[in-house]
Amino acid sequence: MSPLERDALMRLEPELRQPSPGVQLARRELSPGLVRIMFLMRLYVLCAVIAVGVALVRGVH
Amino acid sequence: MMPCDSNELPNTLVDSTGSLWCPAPEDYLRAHDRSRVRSARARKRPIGLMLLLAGPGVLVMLGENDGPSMLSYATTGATYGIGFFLPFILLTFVLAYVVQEMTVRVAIATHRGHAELIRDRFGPVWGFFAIADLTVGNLLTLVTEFVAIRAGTSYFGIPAPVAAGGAVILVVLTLATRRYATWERTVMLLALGNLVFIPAALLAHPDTEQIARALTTWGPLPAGGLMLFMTLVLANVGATVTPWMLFFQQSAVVDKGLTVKDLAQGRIDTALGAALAALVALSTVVAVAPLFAHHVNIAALNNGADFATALRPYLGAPVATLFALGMVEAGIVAAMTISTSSAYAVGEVLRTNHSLNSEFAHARWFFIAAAVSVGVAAAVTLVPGAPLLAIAIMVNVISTFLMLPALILLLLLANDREIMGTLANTLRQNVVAGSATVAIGAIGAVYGGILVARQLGVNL
Repeated sequence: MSPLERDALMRLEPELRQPSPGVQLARRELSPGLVRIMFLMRLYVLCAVIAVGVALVRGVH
Repeated sequence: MMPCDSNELPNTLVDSTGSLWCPAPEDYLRAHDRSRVRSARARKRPIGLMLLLAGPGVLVMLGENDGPSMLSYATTGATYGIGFFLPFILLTFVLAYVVQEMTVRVAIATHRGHAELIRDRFGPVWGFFAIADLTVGNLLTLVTEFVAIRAGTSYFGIPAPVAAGGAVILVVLTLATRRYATWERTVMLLALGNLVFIPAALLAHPDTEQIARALTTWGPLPAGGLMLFMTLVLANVGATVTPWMLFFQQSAVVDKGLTVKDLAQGRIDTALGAALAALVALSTVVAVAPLFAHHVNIAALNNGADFATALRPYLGAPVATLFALGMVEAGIVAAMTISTSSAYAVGEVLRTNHSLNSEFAHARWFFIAAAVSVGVAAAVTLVPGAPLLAIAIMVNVISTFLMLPALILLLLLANDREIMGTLANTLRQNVVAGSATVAIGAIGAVYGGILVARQLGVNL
């Protein structure tokens, strides 16, 4: 490590240092309103997947 | 931070908090990049600073001016000429800026990629949804990019295998630089090729008064069938905001190493990208408008080469050549950015290294994901009888359907004060971003619904 590299590294903002792979953030606590939004989103995604699947099958035949 | 072991002691540093730190190879590169940023800031060189910090915003916006998007703009110009769609397309880029600016703030506040944050904050189900949505959507979109590359190069008589193989090699070579800054500058240089649509528009000698009138009055309104009009409205929205853009810009801002001090430049970068991409989109509509004026039947125009050939009798060989070149560039740059967004997401979800600064041995899955996705997409376009039209339709369906949950997740993250701190959305930002989400989500869902209904044979 050259002195120039050492100086640059020492001045690198701590939050920009390469994190250890696998470090996880805490799971978000969901409020009742947010739980409802997440449920509706799951329902929406499920409907979308079914619709696309049906369209694909009908399209193939 | 990387943990230290005894073998690394010669390269160990004691940081300002007194703890041991063993810099990873990526840290050396990022430290070098940040030294240049600090120096430009200290010397009060705003343009130099901007040039150093610009990248993710310009790339994501010009990357989204991809093969299918350019075809949408060309079809719009050939169908309706200069009128309502010029200001409408401008508005879609304002929406794109509002959405993408949030990804910059989330990235700067958390220093985490989009897929990683969704998994960590909302759990594995949404993490799986994010990665499935992105990888499937991206793979199908990549197929359409290679279709655009094939179509554009066919105008110059280049055989399909040579075009597809050449594009794959180019994408892999840019990844092989193993340096975020080099990759970014290379792709930005190529992305500037998107601007060829501007001289194409100028060579079409458009009526500037008509353009000014269209931009100020939103007219003339398109005549003809409502279904065609709605489809083009929705296609133009889909051409500007798609899920991969959220993942790409957030991860690229993290990989580039932007901090709170760089937020203003991150915003300018995004606005600059939106402005350039909007200019190109409008130029494409203007360049193709003569086909509308000459009542050319556009039903037979399916790809970039068809449009180039159709333009030739009216605007000459130079415009046709620029158009074909622009389609090739649009496909190649999108292949680079979209495959990188897949690679970031795969690395984030697998919790492995996912930086363009990493060496291959340290980020194997990251590089494999990018290379395999472009390789598979290129191979699919070469399979005789591959259902390319069905794939193009499915790309639109999947990205428009899934844009709504993707935007809601982004809004939730941008409002999450635990991780965003002072960078969380303000009330005004929520009103603007919320309206944009409702508009984009509703339009996307309607578009997806129309396409699915058509597939089911429902006559709308």
